Amino acid sequence: MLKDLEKSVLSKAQEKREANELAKLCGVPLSSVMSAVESLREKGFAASEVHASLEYALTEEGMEMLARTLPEQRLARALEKTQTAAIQELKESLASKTLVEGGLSPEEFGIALQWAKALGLVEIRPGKLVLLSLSPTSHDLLLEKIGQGTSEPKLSEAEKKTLSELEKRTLAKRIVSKKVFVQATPSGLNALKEERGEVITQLTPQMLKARAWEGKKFVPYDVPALFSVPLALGKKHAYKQLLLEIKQKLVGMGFVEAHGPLVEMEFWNMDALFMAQDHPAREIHDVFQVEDPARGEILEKKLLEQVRIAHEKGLAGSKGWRYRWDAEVSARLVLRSHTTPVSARSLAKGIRPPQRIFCVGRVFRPDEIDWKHFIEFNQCEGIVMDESMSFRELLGYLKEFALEVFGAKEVRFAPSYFPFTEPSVELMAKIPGKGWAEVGGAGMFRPEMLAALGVDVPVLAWGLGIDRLAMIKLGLKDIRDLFTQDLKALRA
Amino acid sequence: MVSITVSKKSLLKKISARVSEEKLYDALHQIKCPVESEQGDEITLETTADRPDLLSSQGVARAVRGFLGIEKGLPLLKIEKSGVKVFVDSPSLKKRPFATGAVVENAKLDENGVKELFQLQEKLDLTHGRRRKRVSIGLYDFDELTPPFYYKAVHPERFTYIPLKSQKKMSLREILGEHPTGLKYAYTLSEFERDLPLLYDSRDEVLALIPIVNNAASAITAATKRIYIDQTGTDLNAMDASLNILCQDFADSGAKIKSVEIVYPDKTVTTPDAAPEEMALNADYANKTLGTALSKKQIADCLQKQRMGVQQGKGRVLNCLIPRYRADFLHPIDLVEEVALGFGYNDFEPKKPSVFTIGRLSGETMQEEDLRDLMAGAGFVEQWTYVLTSAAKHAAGEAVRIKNPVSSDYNAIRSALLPSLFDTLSKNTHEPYPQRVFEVGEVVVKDAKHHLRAVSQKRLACVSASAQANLSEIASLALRAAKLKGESVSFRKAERAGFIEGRCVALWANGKEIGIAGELHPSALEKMQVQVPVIAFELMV
Repeated sequence: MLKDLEKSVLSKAQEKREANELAKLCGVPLSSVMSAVESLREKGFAASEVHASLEYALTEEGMEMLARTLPEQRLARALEKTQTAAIQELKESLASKTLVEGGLSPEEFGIALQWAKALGLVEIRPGKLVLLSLSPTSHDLLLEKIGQGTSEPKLSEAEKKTLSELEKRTLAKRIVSKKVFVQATPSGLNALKEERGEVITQLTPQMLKARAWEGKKFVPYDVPALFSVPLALGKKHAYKQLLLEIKQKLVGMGFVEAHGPLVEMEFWNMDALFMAQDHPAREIHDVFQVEDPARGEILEKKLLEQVRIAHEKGLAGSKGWRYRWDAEVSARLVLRSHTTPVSARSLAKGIRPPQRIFCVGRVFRPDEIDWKHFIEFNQCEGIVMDESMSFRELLGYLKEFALEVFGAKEVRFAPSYFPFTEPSVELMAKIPGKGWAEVGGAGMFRPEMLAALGVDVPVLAWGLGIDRLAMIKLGLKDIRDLFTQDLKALRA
Repeated sequence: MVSITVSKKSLLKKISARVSEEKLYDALHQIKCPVESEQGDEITLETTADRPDLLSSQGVARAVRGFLGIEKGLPLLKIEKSGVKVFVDSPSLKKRPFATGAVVENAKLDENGVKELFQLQEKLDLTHGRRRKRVSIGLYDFDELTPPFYYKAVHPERFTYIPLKSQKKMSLREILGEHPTGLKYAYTLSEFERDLPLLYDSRDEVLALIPIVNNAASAITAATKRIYIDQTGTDLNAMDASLNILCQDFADSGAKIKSVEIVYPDKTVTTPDAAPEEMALNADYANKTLGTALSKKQIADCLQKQRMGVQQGKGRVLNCLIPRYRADFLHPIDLVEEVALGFGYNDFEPKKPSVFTIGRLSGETMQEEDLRDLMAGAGFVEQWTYVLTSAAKHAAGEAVRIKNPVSSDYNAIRSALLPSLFDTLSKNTHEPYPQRVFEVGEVVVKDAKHHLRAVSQKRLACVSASAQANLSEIASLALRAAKLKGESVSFRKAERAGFIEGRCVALWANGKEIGIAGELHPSALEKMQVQVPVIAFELMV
């Protein structure tokens, strides 16, 4: 149902009209018209547009000068009879006259002299003034033109320059004025007709009951408009969907999913992985340390001793790192810098082969923040534990992942180094449209690490950085867009 | 990863003239130092942290020659005696009690050679030397020195000298307090209270304030023929490797290496010790690990290509001789990787996965999927944002803080999901309403009883912002989400900062609060600069 004023506005705005005009036509204040327009606009019954235009007006001082004549002109007139006069005498004589007599105060005299000279009314000779002209100057003319109040005076280039001078003299000012134009939309007009009982837009149960539709015309739908209504649907996150797809592929290959904590002890993030405590990757520029709380507690005392021996003296035929291992350092809390501690925790639980486990999770590393680096990213990690595992089988897994998960066409391997795997390998994949890309690192867990965790069969391990892959698959240019808070992008 | 920049021409010359660029680049990729970029004659190689011996073109050339079969097995390193003695005053040197050294004669340096030598020294100091803390290297013009040398902690005002990168004579104290290198490395001397470690000769000429900066008087130039290499540090094994890296490089370039005697109060040691380390490798172990069926001879060939010496041992055993410039051998598995490298990673035939196990998603993921289905079905859009956040966005002391953040925007881990959902509403006031957004994600909350003191938790949270927003819109949704866990859920009236009094409920299950739902207070909305009503809930799941 339309309100009376809305109906009135609609019927007056069948052609585009300015809001002030509508207010006059409807006989109500502008503010009432504007709120009716707003309400019509929300219903899609009216469209409005705002036109901004530049206008000019005289300042208060400008209006005063228009009435009193500009000081330079008054100065020129004082010379009308004598054509010439000594400056000092003229100044004093004008100061003694009243306004009506065309006088000039001493302050005004200075301004008058400056502009009279600049505008060619007078000429200064030593000690005296000579009259050159009595005609109206550009300043007089424009002051008058603006003063007449033509609503949007068209100014020539010369006049625009003069306007700037008048602005400097604080005689004129520019004003931006906004005008709102309103016009009824086709559906607005239909609504109007419907109000008058001429047509039907929306069939209602009441109309059906009363057969009120008989003899009436149905308003046809505006077909293009039908498809332009924005949807407000729920939507799952595109990257999460992609991760789910990857998880399902891994499950399809026979892997079981595992999880682990984001805040982790160095023990699980590093020591249990046989990373020596002075390893450069443990320094503050490679791992985020937790300040509060600062330390956890290693509950597995037997495991702790095994890890100590692995580091200090070596296990499983290794020489070890040969230094004094510090359990205190090991208890420090960090943000996990990789998902390998999740695998280490799984292995330490005493699981028996064969096992295939994967984990997808957030990891954290200090880094530059730019379009391809962020300090928090997602890693996909997997391990295979079985007596029959070998380096060739590891390469086989990597090839399967590249083809299956990354949609790669070709793979290549390069030697690499990770503190907890030997041999270590880097997987390169040729991704359609992108060329060769490093997609992950892998290796066989070192015997020292496995022995400390109580594992006596080989374990293959691989970790894939999946944010870069997601950027390619989702067509993003900036890695940070994966985690966007832009609702438009999330809704799209 | 460590990068070095070397001259391609000089590298090719050191390898041998008949290697094509393509073959060279492929070999570099296969021996852990791929080409990262190139500009004219300069190529930048990226080496892995386990191979400090690849931080110079001489070391890279040695490895390439082996890999391409130009020269296999142990490289030659003949050492004569120099008669030079270094007296080490261990008790005064705290945790930095070790010194090693060598004399190089007939060094054939040129401008490029000096540049690469300094690059090698700098990179070794940085990585292998752990920023000079574990090992630090000094190189001096031997002709400017008068042995024997003394390594001792001395009074900081007793000696003065003109350090490199300076014009004036400085005392040791001044160097630490004013000289740029002194300021940069002062941390290595934190345990020295007054006296500072110094290397000086028999005429009291200073070689260097250890491990800070050399005396300009004995600086190396392209014309230097005789060089003294000094090393000091905390770890003899590491010092052993880097000294051998330097000496092997000089020896490969045709210089003569001479040993020095390090005289400790209780013993005398001769350095460098270039005797290869012995380690046995069982061929069956190598084959089982690699998934291959290589003969002992094939395995030996692979190792020799990696510059190992191999003596055929008894039965299936190969006795391997590891050059001393390689410090990364702890276990026979390290030899197995050398076999793989010598074989060529891309010459292995990948084996199809053979193990059978049944895969499954975790219960946690299955539950998360149910929640996502529920929320999307109810018309909510999903966001997935960073776990890192600014501590300022959470109540004081609530979020787990990071000691070394790279930005104050990310100096803590979120302890709740709602702040980032509120943030989303603030950032999208220009977008059409209603705005309904949810997130399922991890948060970390402090827990003094847990062994990690900070526990990671999965949560679900949502916000709904619209002119008609009303708690009844999401109360049933929150209940449904909470019940997905299969627990019986009850409600209690609650008061929470940011929510309107009387318009906030807590959800309880198993005698524990598991979530909160409510309508935001106008003052909270004002802070967010959101001009529509907002309702929200957050649940542990």
